[in-house]
Amino acid sequence: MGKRILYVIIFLAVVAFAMVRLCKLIADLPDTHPFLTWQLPIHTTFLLLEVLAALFYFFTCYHLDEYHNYATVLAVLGSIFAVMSDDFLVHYTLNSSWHAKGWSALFLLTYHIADFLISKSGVKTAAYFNSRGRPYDRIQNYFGDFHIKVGK
Amino acid sequence: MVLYGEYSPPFHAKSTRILFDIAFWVVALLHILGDYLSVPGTFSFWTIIDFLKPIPQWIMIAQLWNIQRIHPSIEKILIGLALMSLGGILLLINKFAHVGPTPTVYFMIAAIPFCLGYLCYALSFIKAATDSADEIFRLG
Repeated sequence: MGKRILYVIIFLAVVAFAMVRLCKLIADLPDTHPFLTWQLPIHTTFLLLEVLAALFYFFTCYHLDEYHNYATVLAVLGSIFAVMSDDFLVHYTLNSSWHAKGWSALFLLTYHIADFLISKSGVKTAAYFNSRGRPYDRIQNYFGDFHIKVGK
Repeated sequence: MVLYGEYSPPFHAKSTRILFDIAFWVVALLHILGDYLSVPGTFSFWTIIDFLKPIPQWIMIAQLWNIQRIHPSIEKILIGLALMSLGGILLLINKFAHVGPTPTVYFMIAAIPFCLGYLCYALSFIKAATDSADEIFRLG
């Protein structure tokens, strides 16, 4: 339980930091494209949707077995790194005081870590479903039996 | 928890998956170095290295390709990775077309594949979660 609370605290801290910094950045921009006023909130919404889906996956399935436990942890961590990555990207691109090569390198590092973790989560998810058989096959078999009984 | 388990086909062998991951990180770190050392507006060796940006995602796509039929959530992660690499390419174009403090239109266009990529990841997690939940909450 303590581990799960820790993930939620990390998530809230990262998202709160990203949102506060982004809002401040947009408010402080003196001369920029008008599209940023709607692009950034839409982008952040999709990003948060991904993080919430990863947390849903984590809280629904973390206890099933080792494959799924690992897959869900990787999905949550990958999503958090995606938030960090996009936050660094926006600051590097739009905030002149952040326009240093070091921030760009940090953006790219978190960008690659996010994709790596989410992909490894996919491998573990596949390993889980492969070890159990495909869920659709099982459902099909179940209803297949049912139809045979009705037919008789 | 083990990062590299021994899985039967259609999974790649454990050694192949380790090689994929090493290739991923070698190319990713090279790209970060290329980004750090390349100068927009000039063409050099580091510019070519900077163009490696989408390759790590393609390596992951290659790693997941064999197992995409195991569950629909894996297909969605594959589509998400493809969209993320497209967004990365557009950001790369923005970097070299960038003049002055304001980003180019490529920065705005890059948001579309990124948003769709995040949507694919989200749908993948939800699909995997709901199908796994059948194991616990199955009726009958």
